[in-house]
Amino acid sequence: MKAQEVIFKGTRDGLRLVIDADENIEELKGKLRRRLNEAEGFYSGARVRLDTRGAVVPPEWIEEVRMILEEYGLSLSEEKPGQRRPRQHAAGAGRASAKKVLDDGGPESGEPIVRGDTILVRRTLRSGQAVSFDGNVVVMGDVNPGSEVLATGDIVVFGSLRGMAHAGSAGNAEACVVALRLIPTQLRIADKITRAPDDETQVPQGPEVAYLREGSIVIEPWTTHTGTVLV
Amino acid sequence: MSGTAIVVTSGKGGVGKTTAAANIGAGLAMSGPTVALVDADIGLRNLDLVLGLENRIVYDLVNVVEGGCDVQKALIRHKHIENLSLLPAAQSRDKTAVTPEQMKALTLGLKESFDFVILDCPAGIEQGFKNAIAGADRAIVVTTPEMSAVRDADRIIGMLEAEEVKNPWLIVNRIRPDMVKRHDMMNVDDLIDFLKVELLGVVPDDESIIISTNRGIPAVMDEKSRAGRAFLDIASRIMGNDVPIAATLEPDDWFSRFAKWLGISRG
Ligand SMILES: Nc1ncnc2c1ncn2[C@@H]1O[C@H](COP(=O)(O)OP(=O)(O)OP(=O)(O)O)[C@@H](O)[C@H]1O
Ligand SMILES: [Mg+2]
Repeated sequence: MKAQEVIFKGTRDGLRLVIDADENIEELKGKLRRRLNEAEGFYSGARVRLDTRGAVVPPEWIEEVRMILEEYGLSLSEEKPGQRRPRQHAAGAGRASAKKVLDDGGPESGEPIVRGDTILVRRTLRSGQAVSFDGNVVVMGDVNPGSEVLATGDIVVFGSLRGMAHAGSAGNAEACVVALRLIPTQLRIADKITRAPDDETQVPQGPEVAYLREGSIVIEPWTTHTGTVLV
Repeated sequence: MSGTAIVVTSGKGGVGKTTAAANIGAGLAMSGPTVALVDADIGLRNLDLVLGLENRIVYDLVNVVEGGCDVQKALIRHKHIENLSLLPAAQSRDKTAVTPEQMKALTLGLKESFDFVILDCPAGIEQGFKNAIAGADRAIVVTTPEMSAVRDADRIIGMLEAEEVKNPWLIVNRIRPDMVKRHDMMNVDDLIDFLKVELLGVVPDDESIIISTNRGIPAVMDEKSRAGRAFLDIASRIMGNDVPIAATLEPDDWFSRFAKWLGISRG
């Protein structure tokens, strides 16, 4: 298998930038730029902790990474790699800086907010945009065709889910997807994949939930009762 | 006082960016403000043709950016519309001949001497797009009522938001009321429900556009052109006037449904 790429990971301690310390720095910088370009400003304003997976890297590396991050409006957390903050302080580490939040606090604006093991995305994901998170994802907006949401936990969309959603992406078969309008191009839960039938034109009347039952993905109207079944 | 720079963009090619830029620029200039039209489609210039100015080009955008020529010298005055000037694109160069920083400086400079700077963006999401939007204050996204064009518009809106060009306006071009009525074409309500942006105008599919393009006279100058009237209304809305969207289209009750989108505030 190919060596791990440069990836952003949302964790309970905030946003982490995972890099492969075996790469050469130029390659790494190229990959980081590519990631940030793909994200199209999605992470802008966020504080990031560098995760070298335990490897020790030269301080010049960290400087180089910091410079690229700052160019894209992110900041690098001061804390040394590998050194964990106590949980209660770290909870907001992935959050947008206070200034940014005050600047454009509208529901359409904004950088993702990480709280505990859930990320809150307060905007519509448009074609070409993606969110990937180690935990649950809540989107306050639509997920348009051509965009993707990946979560190791549950996915909740307060809007129309028309793109691709993958809940339980690390294999959690208990994960579910809930949306006010659940009309995805494709839906994945754990290792199962479904798509809408080609002749499906009906639009669901209300919120729905998708989950795994006996190994296949089923979709049902969302009621609070469904919630208790799932536990 | 500084003017406003508006980029006309789409993602998908051939949906009517150049047509819209020319007619909006002409429409604005005809009602008073001074307008500079910038052809940012380097290597595939068109705007000069649509405006009938091809034979007057001496210097182009790349000459200006490379410092070989003063911008005032490169600007071409329109034959009939006094307040309208064009900065043509270079035809023998490509998108990499200029950088976003250079375009930003150029746009900023033009805003000093014009009320509106309208930039005609190339199709795509690469460097040409990044160049064209670099100095823009606002964006107009043009789409046709086809799913592929709408998807590309969605992508472009996301990219504009990421580049801090907020609250784009939408123009739906080449609408055919007869087809919409038969449910063979997406209607504008569905389109707005999907893209969730402010509708600036709806332009009918109209052969007068092809005739005017070939003649090099913008459709807004032809009183009989339905598309021309739609573009005049769009220009008027850009200037802040409250023009109902149904007004320029056929007196068809189907179109009156657009009127409700006008209530959306213009930021
Ligand atoms: N409302 C309309 N009715 C009829 N024809 C139209 C209309 N709008 C545009 N066209 C025609 O569609 C074609 C493409 O238009 P135009 O050149 O403005 O598109 P564009 O988006 O600038 O294309 P490109 O991506 O190549 O720059 C032209 O032939 C034009 O005459
Ligand atoms: Mg064009």
